[in-house]
Amino acid sequence: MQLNEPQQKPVRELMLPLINVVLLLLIFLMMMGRVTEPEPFRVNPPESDTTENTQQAITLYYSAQGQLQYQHYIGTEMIIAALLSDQGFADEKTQKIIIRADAQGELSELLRLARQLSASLAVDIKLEVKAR
Amino acid sequence: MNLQHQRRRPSVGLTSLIDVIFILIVFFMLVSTFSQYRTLDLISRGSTVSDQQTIRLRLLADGRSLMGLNAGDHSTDHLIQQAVVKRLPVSIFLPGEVTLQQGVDLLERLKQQGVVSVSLVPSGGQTDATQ
Repeated sequence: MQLNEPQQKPVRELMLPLINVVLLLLIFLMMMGRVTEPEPFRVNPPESDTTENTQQAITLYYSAQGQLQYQHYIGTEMIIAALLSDQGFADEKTQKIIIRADAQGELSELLRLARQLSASLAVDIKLEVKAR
Repeated sequence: MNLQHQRRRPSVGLTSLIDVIFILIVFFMLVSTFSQYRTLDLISRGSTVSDQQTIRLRLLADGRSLMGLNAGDHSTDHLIQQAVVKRLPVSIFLPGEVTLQQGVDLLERLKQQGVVSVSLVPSGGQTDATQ
């Protein structure tokens, strides 16, 4: 007696679990992540235990070499001129500026620049730090 | 004769959907950050420091050690204790080469010790940063 082997059906990979996992991953990244603004140069902020959250404000960048930059404006005078001519900045009621500075930058120089900014623009200056 | 043949359900192509989702995932993985950022007050408009009622300290070049600025000052610990008890502001005169991380660490250390107000004076400058 000849016994035919049962014909095997081609195995179909199940795509639905893969799609479910990938969609969950996508939702997680969208909910938990914060889209980073492009930085003019690499900045590694100092670490701190402070608990004051970052607020929405104009962000300036200060490099380890002592360069202060806002958008494409470099140097305190250019930044002050740019912000004074910015209508959106003038309309802000609680004006403040956040400086994202490199941990290896010189503190005295940053303080001098910050004082100049605060005096010219009448704003509070805050320093951004990384939570430890 | 029965001419009706059974219609097959058209299968939906999922490959393009997965392609798009993968591209989105790669995009979000590249542009997202999970680092948590905080802020410290560097300069507040309303803060003024009276010279007469201020404990004046100098930060040494190692970025950690403090020293009383006036001749005949007590030990640094005693001066800081005085600032905590009498709620006096502390002014710290910085040498040129202090980095931001050293400055932030110093502010935190003084805050932990109970100092209510700290001003940082840049080398060769006026009283500035407050916390």
